[in-house]
Amino acid sequence: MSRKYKKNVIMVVLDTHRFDRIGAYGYQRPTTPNLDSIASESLFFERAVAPGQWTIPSHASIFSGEGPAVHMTVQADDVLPIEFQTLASRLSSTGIHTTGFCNNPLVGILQNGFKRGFKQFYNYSGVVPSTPQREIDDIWNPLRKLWTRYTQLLRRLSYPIQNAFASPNEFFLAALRPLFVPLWTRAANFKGMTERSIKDTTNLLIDVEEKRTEDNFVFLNMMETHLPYAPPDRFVKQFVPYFNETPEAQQFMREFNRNALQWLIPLVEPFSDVESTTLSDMYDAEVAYQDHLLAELISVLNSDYHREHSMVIFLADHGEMLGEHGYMGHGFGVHEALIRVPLFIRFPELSKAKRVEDWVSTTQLFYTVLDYFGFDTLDMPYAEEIDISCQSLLRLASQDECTARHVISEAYSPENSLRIMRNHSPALIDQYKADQTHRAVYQGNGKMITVEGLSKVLYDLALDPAEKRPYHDEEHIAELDKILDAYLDLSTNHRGGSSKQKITLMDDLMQQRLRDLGYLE
Amino acid sequence: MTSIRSFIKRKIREQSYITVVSGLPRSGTSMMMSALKKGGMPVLVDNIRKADQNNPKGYFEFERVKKLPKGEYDWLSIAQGKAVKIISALLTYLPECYQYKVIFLERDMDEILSSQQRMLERTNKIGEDNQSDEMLRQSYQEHIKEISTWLEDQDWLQTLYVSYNEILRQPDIEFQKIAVFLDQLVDPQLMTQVVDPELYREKHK
Repeated sequence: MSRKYKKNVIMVVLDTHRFDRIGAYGYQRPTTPNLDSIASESLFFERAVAPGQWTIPSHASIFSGEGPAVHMTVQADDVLPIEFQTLASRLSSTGIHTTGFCNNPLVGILQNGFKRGFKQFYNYSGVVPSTPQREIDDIWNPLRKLWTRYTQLLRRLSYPIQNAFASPNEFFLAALRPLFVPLWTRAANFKGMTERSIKDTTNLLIDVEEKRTEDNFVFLNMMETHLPYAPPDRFVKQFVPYFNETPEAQQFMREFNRNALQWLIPLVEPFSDVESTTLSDMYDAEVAYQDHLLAELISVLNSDYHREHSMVIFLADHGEMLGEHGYMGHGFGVHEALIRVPLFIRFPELSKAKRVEDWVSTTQLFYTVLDYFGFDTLDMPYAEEIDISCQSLLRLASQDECTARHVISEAYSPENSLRIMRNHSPALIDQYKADQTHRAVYQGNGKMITVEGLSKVLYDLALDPAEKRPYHDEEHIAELDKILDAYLDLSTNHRGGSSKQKITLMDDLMQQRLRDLGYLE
Repeated sequence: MTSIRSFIKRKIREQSYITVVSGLPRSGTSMMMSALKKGGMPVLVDNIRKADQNNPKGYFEFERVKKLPKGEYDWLSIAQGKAVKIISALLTYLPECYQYKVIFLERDMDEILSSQQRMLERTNKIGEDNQSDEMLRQSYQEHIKEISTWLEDQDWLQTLYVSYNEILRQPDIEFQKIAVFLDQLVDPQLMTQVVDPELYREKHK
């Protein structure tokens, strides 16, 4: 991996960002001029799919290169099995500097292994965020150091408490009561500090450009488009122009922002037209606000240095259901608005922008980043060697004809949300088959949605992108079924060890020796 | 007034975390416990396992540590502000409701294996078995790799890796690092008094 010049990868996760609200994906409203500008110079994936429907499985896949059925990190209290060496771990083990800036508490606060391998990881959400500290040698320095130590202690004390809320327990349910929602959404920085995190990332990239001493992997996760929606007035006026004059819209938004239960489960009753439009437009306003904040970062990425030395990846970990098919949020189902995601990559070797129509999975970014840094093969925990270039998305930049590919996405039901449904709306579980794993298999224009052991439905996305008219084709279903079966069989063989927190990291031989020495009972 | 304030601050710091001395058996954990005690840190020991030929200065162990896999950890409440020896294989059973500072001892693997072998021979539990040693080496190496990754994941644990071999070579420097890690709650100069290179050379022969 010796190179004459340094390389950087900047991976920006637009958390909860629908692909169809981005101009480059055909959206007509001017929500994303900054993203569109960089997309127009990128390897642009028209058909990118997230491996999972929400933050935990999706990030676990991006960081491990495996699908949810393999890593089985699919619940808020799961831990990525230790045998899956994360992207950051693999990079940092070869001397690449790894830095994370994260606004999502599920990635930044939970002890789920996602921070593994990051030399620095800044978490902007939670009761006591951790942010880069300025090194200034003045008379206030001792005070600053004291404050830093104090906040470090507070953070260590607060993490176990915040982790306790991740499990499907009474803490979690209590936190969702409207009385407490403003507490954790505002006081506890649920959505992080987008502006600050972008500023810090931008400063790091300026620093990288000035120093040019090492390779860098920079991860940024932004949560602005996640509920609750409260964009600045300027964006509300532009994208929800009727809001300030429509009491019904205001009251709905006020109540919806406080009723976190509704964010997590399918709708008990469909939205009214006003509610549906308001929610959708407020989402647009958040998209536009986040895009506006990104201008500063993109400006630095457009410097000559970063154009010549840095790969820039923009993606979403998942989308968001805003009432379609009766779903809200990102807990259940595998419909397009949820698992189709934006993905575009700009890198120095890309001579001209290219739009790729192949189905791709964001899981492949794991291999793409390693490929860019010059890794050839990988030893995986299931004792197989993987040729990285086969999985890397970079190969699609040079191929004129793409081979037919398939992609799979999985939605394991989040226990937290199921618990809410059991308590508040048990009928929804059966109605939406919410306690079953839903999967989607894409190939060509076909998409098969399966509900484990219950149903298989086929859609032609070219004719029916909104998935409203399933069609019947036994042969096609059999073909996609075969692909899914092969994936699930392979997943069983490749699956990691225990994904729960209490793990025994020793084999039988070691256990016997420790017993002989008197250290184990 | 200043001394009262510093006394209170010291007491708060002492009570805020549990100091865990960890590593593989025979990696120098007993020596580290002894050094911490000498340096002024209270240690949680029960002296059920007495000093013997293998550890002439004592094992510094607390028997109830072995109950961690069964979920028995109520005793941790009395470990706050003290040092306790917990072998690396039991670290994952620690509950998150306490704060810990882990001093993780590393030592040349050949030395660990031969020291364990001698210990077992002296207690008549096992004979010489090179093949088993080779397999154990792999198990231990894999274990150390995995436990290091696990430690890195846990925000509620702070870890300092210390080389046993380096302590013998330059105790002043290594104990100074430990004193900084433990918020100066131990005196590094006093800690150096427990290092006995003669004993090490004897073991290494």
